[in-house]
Amino acid sequence: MRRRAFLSAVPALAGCDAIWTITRRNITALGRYPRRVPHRFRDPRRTDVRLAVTWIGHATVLVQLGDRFFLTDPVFSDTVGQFSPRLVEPGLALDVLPELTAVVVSHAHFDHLDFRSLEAVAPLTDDLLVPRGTLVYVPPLRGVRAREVRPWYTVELGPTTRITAVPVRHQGYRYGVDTAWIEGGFTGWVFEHDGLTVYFGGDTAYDGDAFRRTRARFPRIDLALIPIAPVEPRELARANHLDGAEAVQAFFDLGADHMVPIHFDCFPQAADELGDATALLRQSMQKRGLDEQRIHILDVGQSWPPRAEEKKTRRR
Amino acid sequence: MLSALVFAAATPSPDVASTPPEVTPPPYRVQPDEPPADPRVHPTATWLALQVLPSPSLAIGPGPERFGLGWQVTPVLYSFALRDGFLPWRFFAAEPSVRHGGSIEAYASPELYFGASTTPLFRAGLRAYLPVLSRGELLSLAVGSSVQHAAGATDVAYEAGAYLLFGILGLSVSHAPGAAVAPTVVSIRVRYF
Repeated sequence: MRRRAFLSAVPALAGCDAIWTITRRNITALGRYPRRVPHRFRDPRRTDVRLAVTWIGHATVLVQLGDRFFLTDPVFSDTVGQFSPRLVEPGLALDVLPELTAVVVSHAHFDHLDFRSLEAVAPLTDDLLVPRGTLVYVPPLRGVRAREVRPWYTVELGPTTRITAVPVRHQGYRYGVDTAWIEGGFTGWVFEHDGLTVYFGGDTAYDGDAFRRTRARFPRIDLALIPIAPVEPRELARANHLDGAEAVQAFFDLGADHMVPIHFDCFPQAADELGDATALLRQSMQKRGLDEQRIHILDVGQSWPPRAEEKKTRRR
Repeated sequence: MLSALVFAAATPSPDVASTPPEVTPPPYRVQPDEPPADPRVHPTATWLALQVLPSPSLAIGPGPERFGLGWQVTPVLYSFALRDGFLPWRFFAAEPSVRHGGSIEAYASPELYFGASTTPLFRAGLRAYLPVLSRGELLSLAVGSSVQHAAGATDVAYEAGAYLLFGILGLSVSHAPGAAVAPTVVSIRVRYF
């Protein structure tokens, strides 16, 4: 009897430990100035390649397809959710962003839907796309046509420019209590322009069926932006987040040519230490026989393919 | 870390071969006039449990200060923060960005003040929220007016407040000129949704 009581108390203790660890991560990070990004680009536009991405941080990525630019989950604020401080400054300054064909938001969590950042990028775009059930949280933005998109639905933004919502596995609420009535509320996106295709996973758990169906719809994905954190505590994170091993499997499921991991080491995330997510990813890459010719681990502010001046400073 | 030790037996990495499914989802085009999903915001058990949390108050004058506890309920709220296409009305439950992004609410508030004896006070009124930072999630201000009834007397009160942290925490001051019970009340408002 005593043994059973002890064993049933262990998960509860572990849960308390996890909550305490998460809280401590955020408290100890408060007041730290975000780490500076060396050599931020003054002009993120590329003329040497047709497809390029610049990791601005977390799930914020500037995607260039030919002469078109797309921005994902714009978050430039110093904190998310008012508590979690930014650990690294944004990889691009707001005032260097080019005109954007569209801005997409993957879901309404504070680290993906940031009101002030949306207001800041609104003058750069005409189109904002959000998942079904999320528009109620988007503030009115002058001159921006904001639309909800259901999974598998496509928005055409030009003769060869399309953005499609694709299914992922996550949670769509913003405040917690709203999980009771929010309809859907989370998505991935696929950008297509002029024969180029980029997948953006936003924030997702492993869902092999969703990834394989996305591959069936988009048989040639040039690049997949796939989240790889938070990793710990895995028993809690698994339901909503990919870890490195699952991200590699998602990469295979999607059949993409290249992958850039996102959603790590920019804000305190659950119980992760800096470097946990990439360590797991590298471990899995090694196990699956992948090298950095296909999976490109960037630092905040870096782009892929790397510019000539970046090649010397890439992390190893 | 304890949790890592306890749950070390993590699910094995998904090593299954990746083969595309047979059914390819058809392409659907977004219709330009498709309305957004209007949330059916409603009270839930979790919401109800959170409403039980009281807001502590301090009633000032006449006589010694008295500690109090209050609760509040919002039968109806009209938000002017929402985009076109959404119903602006909320009943009982309202999302923080809908309330603190700019709204007017009708509210009722039972309060108890403790001292030599416990005095119940009932308040009903109108309150307007105005967003200051980040659509009111970071900071909003509120002004309002209410009718308060205590110890057989009814008085008109005026209030002003500031709200932080998605409206979860607020500081509110109400003043009812000439009221015999709790003419000035300073409250720390605790409310989620």
